[in-house]
Amino acid sequence: MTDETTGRLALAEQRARIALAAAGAMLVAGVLLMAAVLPAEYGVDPLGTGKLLGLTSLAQANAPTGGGGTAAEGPPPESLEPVRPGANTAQTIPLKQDSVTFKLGPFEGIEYKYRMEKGASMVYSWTSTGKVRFDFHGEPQGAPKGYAESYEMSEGQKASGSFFAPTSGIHGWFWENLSTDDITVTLTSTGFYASGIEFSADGQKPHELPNR
Amino acid sequence: MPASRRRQLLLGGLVLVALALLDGVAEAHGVSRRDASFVESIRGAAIGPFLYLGAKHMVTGYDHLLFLIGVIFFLYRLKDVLLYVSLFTVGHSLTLLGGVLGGIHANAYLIDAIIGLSVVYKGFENINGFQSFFGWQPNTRLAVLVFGLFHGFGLATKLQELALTQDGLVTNIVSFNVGVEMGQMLALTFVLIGLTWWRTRPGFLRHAFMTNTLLMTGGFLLVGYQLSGYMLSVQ
Repeated sequence: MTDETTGRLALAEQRARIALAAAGAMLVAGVLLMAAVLPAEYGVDPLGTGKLLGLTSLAQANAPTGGGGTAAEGPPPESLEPVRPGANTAQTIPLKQDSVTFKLGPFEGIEYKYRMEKGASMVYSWTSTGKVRFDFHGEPQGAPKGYAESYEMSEGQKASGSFFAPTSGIHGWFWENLSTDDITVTLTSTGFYASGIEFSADGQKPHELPNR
Repeated sequence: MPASRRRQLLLGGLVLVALALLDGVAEAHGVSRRDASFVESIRGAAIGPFLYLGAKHMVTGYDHLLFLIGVIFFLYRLKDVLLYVSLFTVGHSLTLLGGVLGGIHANAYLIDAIIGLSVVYKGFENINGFQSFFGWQPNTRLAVLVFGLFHGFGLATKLQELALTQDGLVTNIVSFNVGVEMGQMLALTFVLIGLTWWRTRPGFLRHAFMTNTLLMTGGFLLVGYQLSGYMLSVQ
């Protein structure tokens, strides 16, 4: 056997070894991703292993729902049994509609909330021209000052949904501009709320809303 | 001090460092919630806290650490270690400062996926993948510099997640950057001690192939983790 053929054989062997290592690395990473990381981090469970190992509950616990900096000061004021609406939940107060726009400078924040009775509902949708951090939360009536319960806390440019007030009090959003540009946040909603309240650096400003 | 005693001390130290790193991993990468709410309460320049946050981010940042381990894995001379680490530092400092000050908002998921890819790249390079398959090796110094740029964008997105006030912005970013370098030096010291000791062992070269394959596995996992995060976020 010549030196050249030994060399070529050695190279072929080395190539096979490297290809095997790369493929093996990708395979192991893929399996770990599907079996553990996706269920635990995002609650996505393609193989069912997340449920089996209890990893999906980790994702739910990690999801930003529990109160942030402002919350968890003092105990909840009343027992907070969840509102379980049926297919139809009759409402007694007049239906209202609201559409508001806020201009936010760089890193500026604003808060806008609706006064709602326990069990009252609304559907909402908001969009922003830039990325914002938002916290959809409520302050139950009679709660200690600064107490808040978060319903959804995240970052993004839009969100929408339907909401049933778990307590009587004020419920709404805090938006904070995360960019260095001026942005606008536009909120549209329809629901069984009494009025809107705007909280900004300039203080509190009530929004009287006409009946639909 | 007898050699066996020294070895025991060294091993003990390494275990402690490993535990500290694991603790950081458990906290999830990024800036922890408690730190975040603290930073949001800061108005004006705060050198100390930002130095600390930068260092903490680096020491607990497994993606940056995996890449650095890959980079210095086969560097035996201190001169080379310093050269490559400097290139990495220049790269990530440029984009960290430029990204935050210039208001460049990169997508955190995609940047972190590229950082994962940099780990795969380094592992593949270390098992001689480029030479064997393509008969050609991209310039290793240039690669470290370019991937350094991406790591810097990653650091920038982490800082941008915090609502930084304009007041004292430059001081705070520079402090964070200096903290990153301090954390990097601290982590590198321990990695180098571990590697240097390991190289004196007979099994080093035999295990080097496997270790770099594991490095690639970690990199692929980071890529998958971040890309699926990206896809779920745009849905």
